[in-house]
Amino acid sequence: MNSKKQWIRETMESLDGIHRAESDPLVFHKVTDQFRNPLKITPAREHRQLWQIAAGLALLVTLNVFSLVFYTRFTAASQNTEKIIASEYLSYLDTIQF
Amino acid sequence: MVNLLDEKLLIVNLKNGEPSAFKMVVDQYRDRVYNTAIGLLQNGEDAKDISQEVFIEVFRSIPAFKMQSTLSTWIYRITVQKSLEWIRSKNRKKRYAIIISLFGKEDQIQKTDPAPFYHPGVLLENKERAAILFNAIVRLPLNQRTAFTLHKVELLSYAEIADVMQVSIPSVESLMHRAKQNLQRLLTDYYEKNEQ
Repeated sequence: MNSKKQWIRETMESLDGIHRAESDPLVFHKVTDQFRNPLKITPAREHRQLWQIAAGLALLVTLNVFSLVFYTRFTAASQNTEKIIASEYLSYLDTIQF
Repeated sequence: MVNLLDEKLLIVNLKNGEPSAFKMVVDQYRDRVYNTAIGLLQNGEDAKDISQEVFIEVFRSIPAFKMQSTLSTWIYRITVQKSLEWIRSKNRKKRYAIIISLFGKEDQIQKTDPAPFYHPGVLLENKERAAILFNAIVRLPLNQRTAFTLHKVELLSYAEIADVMQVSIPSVESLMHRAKQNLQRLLTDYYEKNEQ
């Protein structure tokens, strides 16, 4: 039990005496280089977001076209059915003599 | 440490777009930015990328800097924001990978735990234990992780952390208290799984 407590305490204190990590000394040149070549500044994820938006729009347009075509066909088919039913009903009326 | 007058002059020169002022800022703050980023991200390469993004942001946003905080607080704030954005974006990717795994593309997913992180500034005798501690820090909520890292890795005071995180000092104390409690719980679990 004591060894567990001691281990936890020592692990919690393991960052004591830490030194600052040293950065890349060329960071200034890299940053100024990116300013000179603005294309490099655009991160890859921005391109990805643009592609995602474009793909989303393309999907939306496809779905709209698909539903329009489907709706037109379905309406035409149902109109035909109504016409057939109506003509058959009228032909039935023709056989009745008032 | 730069005194207030020097800092004001530096900011004015930065606002005027003087390259020498920008170089001075980069030289003065690059280690602090990198150390904060590496502490939060636990990856040297990611921290290098974030450092560059931070200084680009500093250069772009300096005209809007109203001197309501010190330059160092402002740069720390940008560093923390950029690092947290990076972490959130990585977490989103992980969630997306989990969804992909539901559709059977399991080969794209890294199943093992991430490699242990060895901070380059940790004393040699503490190296292994610090790696275990960093592994637990990663599991903390982001605000606790930020406060703990700024205090223990970048050695900022609670008042400085409060300025950077834009919260009160008691809030920082509370975040630190909860972070320590959570870390002790995580370390207990680790000990019970591995040491016995």
